[in-house]
Amino acid sequence: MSITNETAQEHINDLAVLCCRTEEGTILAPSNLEDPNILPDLEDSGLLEIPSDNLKIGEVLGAKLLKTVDSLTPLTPDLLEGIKELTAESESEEDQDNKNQQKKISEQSSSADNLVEDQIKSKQTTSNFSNGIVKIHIGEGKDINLEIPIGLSGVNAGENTIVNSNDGAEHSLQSEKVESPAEESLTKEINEDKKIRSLTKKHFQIDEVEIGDETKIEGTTLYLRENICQDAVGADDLVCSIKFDIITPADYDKYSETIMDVQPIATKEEDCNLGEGVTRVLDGVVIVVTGTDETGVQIGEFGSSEGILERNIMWNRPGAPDKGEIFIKTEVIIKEKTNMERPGPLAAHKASDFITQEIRNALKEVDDSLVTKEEELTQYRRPAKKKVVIIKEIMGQGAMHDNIILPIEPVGILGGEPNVDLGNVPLVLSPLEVLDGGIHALTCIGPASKETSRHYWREPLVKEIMADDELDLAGIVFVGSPQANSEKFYVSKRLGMLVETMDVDGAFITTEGFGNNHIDFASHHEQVGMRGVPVVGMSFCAEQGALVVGNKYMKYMIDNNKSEQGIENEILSNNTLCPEDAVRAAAMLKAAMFGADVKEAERHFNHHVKDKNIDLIEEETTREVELVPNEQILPKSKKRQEIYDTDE
Amino acid sequence: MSKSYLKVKNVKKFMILMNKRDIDAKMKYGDSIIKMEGIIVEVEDGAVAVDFKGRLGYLKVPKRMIICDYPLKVGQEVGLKMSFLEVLSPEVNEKYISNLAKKEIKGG
Repeated sequence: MSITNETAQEHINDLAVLCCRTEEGTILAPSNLEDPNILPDLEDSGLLEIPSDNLKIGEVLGAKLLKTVDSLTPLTPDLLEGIKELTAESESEEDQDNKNQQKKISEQSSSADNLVEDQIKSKQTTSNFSNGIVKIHIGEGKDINLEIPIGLSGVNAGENTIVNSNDGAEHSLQSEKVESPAEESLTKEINEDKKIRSLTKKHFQIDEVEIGDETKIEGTTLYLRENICQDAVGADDLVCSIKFDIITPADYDKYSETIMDVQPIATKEEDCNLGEGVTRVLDGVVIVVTGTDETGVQIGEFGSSEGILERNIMWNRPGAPDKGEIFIKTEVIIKEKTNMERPGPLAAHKASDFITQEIRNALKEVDDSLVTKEEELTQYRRPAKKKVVIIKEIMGQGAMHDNIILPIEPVGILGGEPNVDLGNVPLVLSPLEVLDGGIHALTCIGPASKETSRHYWREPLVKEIMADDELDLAGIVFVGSPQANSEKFYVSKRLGMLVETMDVDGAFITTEGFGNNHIDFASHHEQVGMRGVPVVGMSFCAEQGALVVGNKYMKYMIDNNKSEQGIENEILSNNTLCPEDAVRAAAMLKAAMFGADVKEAERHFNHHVKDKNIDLIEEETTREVELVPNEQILPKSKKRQEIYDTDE
Repeated sequence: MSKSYLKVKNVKKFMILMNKRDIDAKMKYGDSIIKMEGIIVEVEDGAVAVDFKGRLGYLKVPKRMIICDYPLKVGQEVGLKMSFLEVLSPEVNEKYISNLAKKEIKGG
């Protein structure tokens, strides 16, 4: 298949291979060349072997062929006369472009993490000063724009790398340091970290959960009213019955229905709004929501993932229970055939929330003397630093693909609005609203990759970026993923416009699971990327969740996969975003924002890329990144033992 | 496969890679892809069900697993490529058997 002139220009630095049999004496034009995008496939299938001296498209255009050759012949210097030399300038410029274009879907998908490498070359530097800001532009096609406020004593670490590598820029910085003291204090004020709001979490330890006459907390024991279920049934007409089990670590080997959600038990103190003030939270105990319909069909069932708890839960993931915690596991039975309709899963959550609310009310009454730990979370804006936004794509296709946004109580229901009803359009939350239970996830399919309510309560990326003093976190945008593509593009365009108004320097886009949500995931990258904002994308991809579409803005990808086989392995929260992924994403976005090179992804999923990136980050930052274990640490069934223990 | 045959420094990592291809290795006909067409017969808030044309089966998937440009309606035709279902081993998985038994007791 020949290529057009336009394609040839985009791929000027890609390998030149003839698409058809070509006669001696032909002056080579794009129409003689094979599409560079399909070369890797041809290579894989054995139809093509690339020699080491294969020329590039830019070099061969206009050259004369010295002998008649067959189709799929790689062009080498001995075949041609009049080879053009590519200038260094155009090379680096095109190189970048080229990398973008070359991203094929398969490459994208399979893999993910690209290596972050700091290689900053600069040839030309121009700088100008306005409003107390030094604007340095480093050329060579990399378009690095540095905005360094004058009077900032000591440039921060990230910027340092770049400025030091560039004598010109450093020089101009020095010369501009002569300024009046008044101005200096003014800029200092502007550049200081600004405290926006804070949230205090008061932790209460629970060691025992018992049944009692009333719901109350005494010391470290939580008593649940014995007839609470009779009242919880009334939470929704669709609820036929509800019961709950108290699961202590000794019961971890028991059978459970599919886990629909894992939720913290927390409540706001009087007059406090979600995301600020004081939140009281119980440690050592979580709510686990499960349910079926009257005929025993799991809510939102597509194949089974029910089973023995300890074999189905990846402990200590942000969205999962921690090992050693007590579960209050509800089992809601809803009316037959409502398990796939929106009101069904919602009813199960409402009935469970009735129980949680009663515990919340008891928690409000508890004396402050029982507080075991106080945690203060503060949201800062850092005007002097690179401004970034976190965009979290949540499910909004309907039924259990839904989330209740901003309830009155942490991970409550009352007061919240389902994102499906809100039209899935982007909404901005403060990082503290997210960490204070602002998202009640109805948590759909794919146990290993779904984000539970507890995941948002402990969201590692939000925590990581909030704490990163090199970044200015503007806010968290939640955008739903509707069903039809027409709706997907509608919300995606709104997201683009929203991000445009924010004037950010970089963005993270995350999604949970895989499926048609990867279409909007790609579209979000395009909408943000086309506005000149580098985007780091985070998703589970690996083997099974390969992206279905790609575009040139999807060059910085982080794969959340942890499973050994790279698949959805039915183990709760196994493949969700963890602190180690957040660290890699932050490092990659910084590299992208400062114009460093990020290597292209490999064609097939390779988990060594991740290990290498972690090593690199540890080396550069002297920070130790702890990697989470995967399903291999869980007790295995005989079957799984056979599969995994082949290396013994 | 004997270890001496594996001239790989990190045997464990190598075996991880081997395991990853476990399913691939067990499937003999995995690359025989055929085109299928079907009709949407049920649209629920969370799921879509499809009858394959030619009485070739029925498939119910979560909405996330179906791609559409416009709102889903019963009667729309869908297309997909799939290969045949191959049984990976003669063994049964006890976990799934016990889950099925539990469901039967419950559903009566």
